Parts: sequence; structure tokens; C-alpha cells
Amino acid sequence: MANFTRNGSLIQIGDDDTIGSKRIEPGPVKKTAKATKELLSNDVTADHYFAGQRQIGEDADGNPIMHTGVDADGRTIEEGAEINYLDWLGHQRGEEGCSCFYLYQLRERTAAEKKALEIEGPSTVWAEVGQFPTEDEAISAALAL
Amino acid sequence: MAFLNDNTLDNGLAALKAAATHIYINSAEPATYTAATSTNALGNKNFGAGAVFPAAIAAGSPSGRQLATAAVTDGSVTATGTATHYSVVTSGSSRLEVAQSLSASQGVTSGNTFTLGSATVRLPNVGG
Repeated sequence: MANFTRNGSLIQIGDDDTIGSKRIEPGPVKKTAKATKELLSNDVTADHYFAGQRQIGEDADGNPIMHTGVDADGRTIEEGAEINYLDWLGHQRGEEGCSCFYLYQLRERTAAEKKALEIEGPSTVWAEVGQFPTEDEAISAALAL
Repeated sequence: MAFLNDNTLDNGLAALKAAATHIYINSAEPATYTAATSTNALGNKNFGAGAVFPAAIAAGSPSGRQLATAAVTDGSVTATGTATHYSVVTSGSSRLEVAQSLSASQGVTSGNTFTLGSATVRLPNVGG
């Protein structure tokens, strides 16, 4: 019988070291949309999604330190272009379609992954397997793996 | 402004300051604790509880209250890639506390160390 543990909102089936163990966590849905002024407003998306640059401070020489707005995949946000974003506001407000349950499974990294990441020796990763609208569906999927 | 866990919204910056343990650098914005600490992780610094935000809570600008992370001078890079985001977690509670983009993406190499300037986390008041 698999070992079920809950720590806060995280459910783990198995343990941290056994290949095949699963984790389920709630989180915001990742969405894709055109970066319009409306989408980027703080009523719709989190404040850290913005187009252009913002000054966030100064360096030791008094030069401005600028922060470039990027999307959830790290791509520079350009107004009018498509972006990927995590719907933090909808998730925290409990709005329909904005939250999901992420399912992860612990596995060994592939040789190709280790080469790309320049990792030597054994290495494991909690890889995302899927996203589910309810915790029950995520648990069912986890048990079916 | 960064994503802040509901625990901080409910209990305030003092709870975040007391609990947070690690700063991670990530290859994409993490949606969960697991994504921050494994799936998208490129490196981390374990400060221990109470030391991620060492300074006192201070007035925020333009409003509210804020915390500043400790600067990272000797973070461990665990995988080669481009770090685009950082995250703050509380490992004992398996909680993603903060997720935010870096001011500029940076390439990191496995086995090296990374540095990160101090970042602020703010709870705004009237005025935004």
C-alpha cells in the first residue's frame, strides 16, 4: 500500500527518494493570451507581468537598475504579442478555470537531459505529468500511473 | 510585485520572515513548491528559517510594508540553463512563498555558484 502523506496543500504518494513516487499540488493554471493593456492590468494578471522595463533601484554608482518584464517562460513581454502567464489572481480569488492540481512523478533524468543540464552522476527530478481540475481526479490519475 | 502565498496574506510579512528557508533560481516561473524546488530548479541557497529575510520589516514604497531578501553570494548551481525567475520556499511546510521574475535573465552553469542581489517583497496599502 502506497504511503500517503499531506504537508500543507502538497499530497505525496511514496517518499522523496523512491522512483515512481508522486506529488499533487494545487496551483494557478498556465494560460496563453495576447499581451494587451487590459490583460497586463493589475486587475487581470499579477503585477510582475508587464511590458517594457521598470526601475527597481540603483547600483553603487547611482545608475538605475532596470527590470525587464517577462512571461512565465522567461520571454520578454511585448505588448500585442502572445505570452504565457500563471493566473495567480484568478487562482487566489478562487475563480473557475483558474486553478488546477499539478501531478508530478519522481524519475531518473534521461541521459539527454543530464547532458543538456550538464549534470554528472545520478540525478532525479519531479517531472510534471499532468494538470487536473480537482484533487480527486489528480489522485486517481496518480494511482493509475 | 511578486506572487505571495496566501499564508503571507493571511498572517503577514512576519510569518514569511520567520518561516522561509531557501531561495531558488528557476528556468521558468514555478506554479508550485515542487516546480520551484525540482522541476524548474537550476540552483538554490539554503539560508535556514529566519535568515532569508534578515532585516526588519520596513515601510514599502509607494505604500504598505516590505521585506528584503538577503543577497545571495554563494548559491549552488545544480543544473546548466538560463535562470529567468527566483522563488522563495519554506521547505518544512512544502510551501512556495514567493515567485518573481529576475530583473534580467542570467545563464548559469552546473557546479558553479550564483549571486543574486537583494529583492523586496511588498504588501501594499492604499495607493497600490
